[in-house]
Amino acid sequence: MINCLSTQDIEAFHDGNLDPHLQQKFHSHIAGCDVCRTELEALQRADAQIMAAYQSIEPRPGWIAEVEAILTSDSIQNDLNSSKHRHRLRRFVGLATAALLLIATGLALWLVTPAEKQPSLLADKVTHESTSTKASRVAARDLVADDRELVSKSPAVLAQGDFLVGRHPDSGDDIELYWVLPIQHKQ
Amino acid sequence: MRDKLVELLPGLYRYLYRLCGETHLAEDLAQDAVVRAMKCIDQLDSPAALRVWLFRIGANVWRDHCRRSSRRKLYEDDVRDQSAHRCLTASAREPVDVIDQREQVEWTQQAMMRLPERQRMVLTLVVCEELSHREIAEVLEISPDAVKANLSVARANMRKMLQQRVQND
Repeated sequence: MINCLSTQDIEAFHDGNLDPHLQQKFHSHIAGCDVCRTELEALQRADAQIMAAYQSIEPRPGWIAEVEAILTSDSIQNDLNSSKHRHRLRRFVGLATAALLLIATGLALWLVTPAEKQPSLLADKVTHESTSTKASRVAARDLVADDRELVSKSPAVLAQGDFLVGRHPDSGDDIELYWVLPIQHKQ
Repeated sequence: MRDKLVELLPGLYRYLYRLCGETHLAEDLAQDAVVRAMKCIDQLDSPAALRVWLFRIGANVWRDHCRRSSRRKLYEDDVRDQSAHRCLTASAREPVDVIDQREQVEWTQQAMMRLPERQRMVLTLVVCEELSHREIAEVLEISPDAVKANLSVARANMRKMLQQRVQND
C-alpha cells in the first residue's frame, strides 16, 4: 500500500499523464483511500465546471456559415492557388539548390582527391608521359614496394588520376603501371 | 480540408473567446486564424495534426493582435476589475451551495479570466480541448515541463479562488 498521493500526483492521474504501471498503482490506491478519492472527486467537479463554462460559450448564430462562405470565396481560392504555386516554386528552388550544392561538392572532391592520392614518387614520371596516350605507363620496377600497394585498384572503380597495375600485352608477365587520364580509361 | 477547418471553428472560437473575452473580437480572431490556415494549408505536415496546428495559428493571431493594439494589459485589468466585482456581488448575495448552475458557470468564467493568460490557455486546452501536454507545448510554443507547471499553478489558483469564495460566504 502506498502513502497518500500528492495533489500533483492526483492531477497527473486525473489527466492520464502517468505511465500505465503508475496509473494502475494510483488507481488501486485511490479506490481504497477516502482522502485521495475525495480530492480526485473535487478535481473532477472543478474540471466539469470549467468544461460547462467553456461549453456555454457559443458563437453567434450564422457566424460559422459566414466564415465558411469566406473560405469558399474566389479571393481565398485565388490566394490558395497562388500560395500553392509559391510553395511549389519554393520547393523547386530548394531542391535545385540542394542538387547544385551536391554537384559542386562532388566536383570539388573529384578535383582534390587525385592530387592527394598520387604518390609523390610517381607523380613526376607519369605526368610527364601522360599527354600523348590514353594511359601512360611506367615500369613497375621503378616503384618502391609501398607505391605498388597504392596503385592496386579495381578497373571498375577507376577515376581520373587513379593508377592501376596490369600485365604487359606482349610479354604477359611484366607488370606495368597505368595512369588513368581524363575521361579515357585503360584496362 | 476546408470542411475539417469549419468543423473545428466552434472550438477555436471558444478558445479565442477564453483568451480575449469579447464576442466580436473572438469572431474576428477565429476568422483570421482559419483564413490564415486555409492559405497555408500546404505547410501542414499531417492532416492528423490539423487541430493542434489550427490552435497554434489561433494563438499566434491573438499574440499578433495584442502586439498591434497593445490592449491586452488594459483588457486584463478590466476583466480583473469586472470579475472581482462580480465575484464579490455573487458571494455577497448567496451562499455557495445555493448558487445555481448558471451562476456557477458565470463564476467559473470570471475565475478563469482572472488567471494569467498562459495558465488560462493551458488549463483550457487540457480540460476543455483535451489536448496532451505535448500538443499544448506545440500550440503555445513552450516546453512540456512548462505546460505541466502552468497547469499545476492554474489549478492551485482556481482552488484558492474557490476557497476564498466559500470563506466569503
